[in-house]
Amino acid sequence: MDMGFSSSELAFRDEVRGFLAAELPQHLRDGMAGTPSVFVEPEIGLEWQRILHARGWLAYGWPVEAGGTGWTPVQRYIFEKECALADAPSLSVLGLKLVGPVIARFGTPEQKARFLERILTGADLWCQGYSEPGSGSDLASLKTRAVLHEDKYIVNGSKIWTTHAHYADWMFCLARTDPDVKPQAGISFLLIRMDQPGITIRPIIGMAGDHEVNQVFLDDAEALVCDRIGDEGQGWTIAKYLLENERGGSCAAPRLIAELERLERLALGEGLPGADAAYARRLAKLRLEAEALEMTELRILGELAQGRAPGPQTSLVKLVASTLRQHIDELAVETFGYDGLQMATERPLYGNEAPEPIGSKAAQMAMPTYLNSRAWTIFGGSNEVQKNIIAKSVLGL
Amino acid sequence: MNFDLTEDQSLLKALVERFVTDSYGGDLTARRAARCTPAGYAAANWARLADSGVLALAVSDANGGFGGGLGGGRTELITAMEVLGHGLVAEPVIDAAIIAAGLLDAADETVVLAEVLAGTQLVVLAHAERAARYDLGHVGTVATVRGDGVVIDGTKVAVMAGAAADRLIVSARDADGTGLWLVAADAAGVDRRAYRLADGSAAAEIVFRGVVAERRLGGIDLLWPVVATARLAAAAEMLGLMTLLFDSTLAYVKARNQFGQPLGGFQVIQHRMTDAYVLCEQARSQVIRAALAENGGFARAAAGAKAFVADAALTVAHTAVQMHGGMGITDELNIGHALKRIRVLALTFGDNDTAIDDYRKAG
Repeated sequence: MDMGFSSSELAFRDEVRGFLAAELPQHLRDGMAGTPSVFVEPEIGLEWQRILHARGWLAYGWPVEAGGTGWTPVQRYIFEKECALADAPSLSVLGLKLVGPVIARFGTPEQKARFLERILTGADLWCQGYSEPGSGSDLASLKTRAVLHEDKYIVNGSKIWTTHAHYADWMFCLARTDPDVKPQAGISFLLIRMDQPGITIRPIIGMAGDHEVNQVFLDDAEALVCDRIGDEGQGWTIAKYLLENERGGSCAAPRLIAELERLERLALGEGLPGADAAYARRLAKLRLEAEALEMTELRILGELAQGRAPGPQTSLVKLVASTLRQHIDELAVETFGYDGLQMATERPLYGNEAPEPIGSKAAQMAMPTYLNSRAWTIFGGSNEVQKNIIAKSVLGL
Repeated sequence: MNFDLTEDQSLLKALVERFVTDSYGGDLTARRAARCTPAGYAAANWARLADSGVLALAVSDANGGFGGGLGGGRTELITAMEVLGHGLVAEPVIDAAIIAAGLLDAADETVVLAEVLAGTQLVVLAHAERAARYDLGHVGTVATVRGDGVVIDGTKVAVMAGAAADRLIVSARDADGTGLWLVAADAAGVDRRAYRLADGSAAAEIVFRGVVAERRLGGIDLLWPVVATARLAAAAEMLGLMTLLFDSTLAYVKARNQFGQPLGGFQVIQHRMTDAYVLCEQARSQVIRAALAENGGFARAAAGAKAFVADAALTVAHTAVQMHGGMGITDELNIGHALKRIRVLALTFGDNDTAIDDYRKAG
């Protein structure tokens, strides 16, 4: 067994490190550290995106012909790990990881030409129209209806938990084009412009006071037929491809380990009151779990590196990482004594306008981060749904 | 980045699997028979493990081993121990091979070591004391000079596999601090009370009253690297045990019908089995991680792996009992036997807090 990187992989790691040291500005690191939510604001994300795009490293998850880097799974892992350790802002999941690969895989040449480059340059921001008020975990029951009228679909319904809809130029949307077949077969994948009269956005404010998600109402909204990805009725297949696209390995543990080390430095290094043996053991147990997750991800990577399909372990990464993230954020709130109770109402919590923290910056971030992180076990398929999937597909139950 | 076994490691794995199949295959009959002996294990099995080289897993190459403890070879160690755990093997591989042979190896006690590796001598460590609880550094037993020799006085508890041991390695405070002393188990003044642990193994509580020691193997510092190797071995054996529990339970919930459907058709059962599956995979990752740790960080990694796996294994064991219902609490299934073995292994060189503290303090 060999968990090490080859000399060429180590050289690549050094190249990435050198790039991050030179090109990642401190104010973007501060922006990431001062963001309690999973998603950074576009002002932070887009600046980082432009820097990566200039280096040619932005579309590393895309096929080479669509602008991808052609990296091996190990290189992708190294890149993500180094970015996490450098506190780089997280990249826009919606455009870069979700709709971009879909257009690259299922889009027509015209669609690829129209959309892909604009995702990379940040000219277009995207949001995802999947969940509905009546269709959360049971996504296939979605009711948003798209009716064909000449060269366009007229779309009616409502989407919810729509992250960054208030910034988005486009929505990729699952809508029912055929109500008379079984639920999965009647869904199509439509691209819908956000700046049209048929679209209304209602902000939904999270527990921590962040405006991150929205409800989007579609009232006779229009989607051009030429903006449908794939065939009519192929929407479910495409949505599932998105999930499978995530099965190329993951790199969740390094950031979690880095956060635990930060807590350890803060609490034990500076000798915060209450950081006793019981606290230290609690921290150590979380670290063991995070280290196990890191090795689980490396084992998956090992399979990919040998040219094999990843094993069933991929299915448990989200389950473990989300739960662990929550436990870390719970511990963080309790780390700072009463200072952990503060919750600044101003946003953003970085930059010159950021409110002065009570006690420390870390204490100021703890509560909003904890509240936001309750979403980890819900979005992208709740942990209960993940367990159903593992039970069925891995355990054969 | 490659977690495949080498060809030699695969051969070792196959060899140990063959031992398990031949000696313990089928049901619990062979295990019960082995446990019923005064020694708590089967002499014929011990001889076969010696012949196959498994007893040398933690011995350095120079003294005839795989070098699992010091110079690498930890992948061999975890591979073999997992298979032995999965097979519910009764032989005291950790106590007499990993720990005792490891100590004799570290002390270059080659003559006794050769007999241990040949399976003709059973040597075990007598270290734990009641007043020490889980404090590995606390030794009340004393070694004092008397005439030409040195005599041992004190009481050792939980001497694993100690009921049938030929020789003991006894920790005792002496003129040079704390040392490890080789003592014949039948020497005058040795008062040995054999008793059974939860897993059916034959341990002993031993009182030493002016017992003349053979010689000093070295200082207590010899013990710490062996503790780390033993913890990794215990973690790997527990991994095998939890895999056995998981596989048995998964098969059971698929086969057992209640309310007109298999137990595994109920979501609550599915989620509990998923939780157990996650624990098995995460435990495997911790065992691999510790095995691949750099030498400088190995003691810390092994302590952490042992704490993590013990916790996970007990949880899976309790789930397995619960999923089996009434049958789960009987002595008729491998479930209870595996639970009891995990219980004993979980206290190898201290409880979880002890191991966690070693993990977080060792740098």
